[in-house]
Amino acid sequence: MKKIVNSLIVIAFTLVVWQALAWLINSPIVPSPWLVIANLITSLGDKLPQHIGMSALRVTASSFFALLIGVPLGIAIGYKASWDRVLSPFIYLSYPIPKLALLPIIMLLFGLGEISKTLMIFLIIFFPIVVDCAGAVKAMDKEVFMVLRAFGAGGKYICAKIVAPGIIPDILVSLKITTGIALSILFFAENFGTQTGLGYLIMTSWQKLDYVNLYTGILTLSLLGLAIFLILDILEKKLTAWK
Amino acid sequence: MLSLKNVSMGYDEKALLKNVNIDFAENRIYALLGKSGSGKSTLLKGISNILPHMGEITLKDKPLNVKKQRLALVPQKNSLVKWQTVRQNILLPHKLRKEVAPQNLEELCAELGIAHLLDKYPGHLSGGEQQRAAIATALLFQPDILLLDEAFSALDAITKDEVHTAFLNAITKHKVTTVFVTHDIDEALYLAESIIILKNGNLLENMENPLFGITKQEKPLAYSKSHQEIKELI
Repeated sequence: MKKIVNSLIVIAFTLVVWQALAWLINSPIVPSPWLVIANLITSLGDKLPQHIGMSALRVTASSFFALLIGVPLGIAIGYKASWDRVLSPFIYLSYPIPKLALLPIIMLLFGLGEISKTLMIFLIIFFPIVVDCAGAVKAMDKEVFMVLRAFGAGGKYICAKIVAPGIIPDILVSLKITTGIALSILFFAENFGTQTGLGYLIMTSWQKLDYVNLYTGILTLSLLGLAIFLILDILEKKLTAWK
Repeated sequence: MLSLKNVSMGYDEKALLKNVNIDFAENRIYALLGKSGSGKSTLLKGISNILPHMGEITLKDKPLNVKKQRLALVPQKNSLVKWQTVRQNILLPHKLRKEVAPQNLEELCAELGIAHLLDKYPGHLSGGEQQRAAIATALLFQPDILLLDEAFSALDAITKDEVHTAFLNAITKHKVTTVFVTHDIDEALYLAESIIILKNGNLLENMENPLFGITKQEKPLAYSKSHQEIKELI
């Protein structure tokens, strides 16, 4: 209850500041929040759900593939010293490269379609997932592994049944951290080769000097981020009760 | 029962255990005593398949194989899976072997004083309760051999006394061949039927313990004498 009240206070404060700025600047560049909210509600009956759906799909697909490849790879690096020795140099060398710098190469290789967009966001999420998973596994109590090995468990069983569920809290934290960056990259990625997505909506509204729609896009992108955070919070509560 | 013939092991080509020969009889409780670096924990890690070894280790006249035979290990701490409840932890060895667990889980946990903690997570338990849960896990597995590596050393004095008593009652009732590593001479005198002393990676002494199951308070003089004798050997 307290959390809801606090959230409402923050929202009210943001709207008041926004409205004050709109009055102060008194220009179409900063429209009133009520105009934007009204436009958002009206647009829900138009193309906005399609833009939200495509943006959400791109982030979800990228996150899915990043988890699918990143989690097992991170576990392998964290659990087996030999994998760590071979793969860590590659990861540490690739991780610091600004992923936006790879955008032209990815576009040349995969075109302007969905693969390029998904791959860009994937690259943003993938490396932190691998590094965080490997670190979480290395930090686990090794005594548990010793005990299970004595009971007859093999490495595959330990990794799949003990390690993977044990690092869920770290995976969720990693996803929370990367969500913000992933949404920024999504905005960039939706600026080329598409007519759907919140990034496209924001940029075309800017080109048309349609500031109300521009702010509607920004607000929706922010709400999409909030929805992702809320989903991750619910998952955290459900999956990490043991903490 | 468990037999070690010319067993050597160590880390990075440095032998911590040199040509050790020991026969552990069935249903007896053994203490492995020695100073730090004497090779006692190394020996336990070799038996429990954590460290490679040279020489021959057989269990019931067959080469030791942790996947085919039944072995349980209780380390000093952190042996429980944190995200599973105590009940799930205790049943885990049976689950991994795809076996039906014995029906006496509740009874065994009552003997060890943890029946009320079965649905709690390890993070919500004290150190003593965690060790009792680890012992329950090992005992429900009905191992051919139970190994404990300084399993009581992280506990405070009062908790240690309580866990000692619960452990001894459970072990004698369930008749499990037990080898426990300790550096605490009084702990070895109370809990072990035989005391094996290791020094610099070699077997120094394998002696019967007449004070087994007798507390220090019951026979302080005998304890003091045996303590001194062992201390001189170590």
